[in-house]
Amino acid sequence: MNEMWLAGLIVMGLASILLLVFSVVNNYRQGYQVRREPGVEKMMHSQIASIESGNPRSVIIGHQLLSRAYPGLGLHALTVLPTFLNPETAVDGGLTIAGSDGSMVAFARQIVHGRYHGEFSIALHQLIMNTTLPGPTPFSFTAAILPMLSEQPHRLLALFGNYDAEASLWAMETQIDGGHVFAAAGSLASQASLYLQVRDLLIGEMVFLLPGLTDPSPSDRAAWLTEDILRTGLIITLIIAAILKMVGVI
Amino acid sequence: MKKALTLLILLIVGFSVLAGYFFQVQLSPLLALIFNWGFALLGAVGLIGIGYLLWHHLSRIMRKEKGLFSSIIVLVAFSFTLLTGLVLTSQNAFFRAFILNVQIPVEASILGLIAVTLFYGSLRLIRTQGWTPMSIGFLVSALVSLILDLGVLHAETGTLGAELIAFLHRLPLVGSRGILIGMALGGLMVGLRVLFNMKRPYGE
Repeated sequence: MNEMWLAGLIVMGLASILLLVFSVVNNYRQGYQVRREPGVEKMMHSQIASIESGNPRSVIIGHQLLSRAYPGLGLHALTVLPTFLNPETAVDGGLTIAGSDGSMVAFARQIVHGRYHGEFSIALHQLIMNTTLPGPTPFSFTAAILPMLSEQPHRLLALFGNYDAEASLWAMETQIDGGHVFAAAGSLASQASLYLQVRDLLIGEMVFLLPGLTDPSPSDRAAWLTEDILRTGLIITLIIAAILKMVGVI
Repeated sequence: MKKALTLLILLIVGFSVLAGYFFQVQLSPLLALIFNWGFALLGAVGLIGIGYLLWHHLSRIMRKEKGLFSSIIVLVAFSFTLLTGLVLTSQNAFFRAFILNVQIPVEASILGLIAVTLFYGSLRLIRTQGWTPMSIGFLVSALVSLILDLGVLHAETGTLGAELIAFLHRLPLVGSRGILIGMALGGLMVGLRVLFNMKRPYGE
């Protein structure tokens, strides 16, 4: 039996069981403590301020839906989107959702369309809310998004999903005009480059806490607890393995 | 009804893929079929995305909005690349040279811009993040990596200095693995939650 296969089996099996158990338990009691993340709170305030002042705001959902190196990042950007749309249901446009992967943009449109039907808000109608694909590759996307950000100074730029170091250009362009940038950074390169410029930045596994930080549900709490247990277990396993290797047992 | 159907398809496909991981030999034909369908569907959805791009520029031209000239250039370049690509195919030497001679200089110029932005950002790091252990660690590690990558530090093989240099070279790799493990766990949780119908971005 392949060792990698066995390790995957244990992690995935354990994750599935813990997630289901904690979801059931959390439905009956308060559950895991909600973490405070000032960056997320500031992003929400910026979004509200931007809506109230009528300034444009943009959400970038990244370059890839599927990636071997960063599985789940593209899907995560799409799961964040409904939460981000909630405050937008009361206003007449101003939000742009942009990505450079055609499939992601199509799915994002579908989510916006679904929310429009659910909330009966004209603000989310396709003609008013701009879900766009400025360019089909990371660099063509950058070349197209920079003029957009400079022509209409943005009050808020939120970055989700899978993207690289070119995000630093988008962030700088927004900040030049006094806009607020929030990033749930995608790749390692984007995490490092955005750390230089963006104060409100989620990195590593913190990125995946995001949908629940704004409006936590029992399943969010269950997912956090499961992830924390698995992470702690992995850290302990790695330390024990390192010690065993040092003393020559493995 | 529509939502129930979506959910049913999601559950069948999702659990088949998950089961395929545990029973690789038995379910490999089914997995191949699902992945082929998935990639074909994604390709089709990607084409819809390209359609949005074209429609965005077309509508800008029709409404005579600001940026009309850029939209015309985009549409002309797109049509030309598509047509020549279809006629000559992407393996043609002329086509490849023609496209790459435009694409590479443009991408290189954007890379240059990114390099300048990163340099400027690194000068402003403390102003952005303040004097925190993480920002100091980030600056020090960037400086150490820069010095090491210059290749000015050398040590005899087998000495403590050589071990130290090798250790410092390995350190970023260790850090990135740590972050990637965390992100992989996060990705796993997102996937499982969508699979168990705890998150429904597709049905919102």
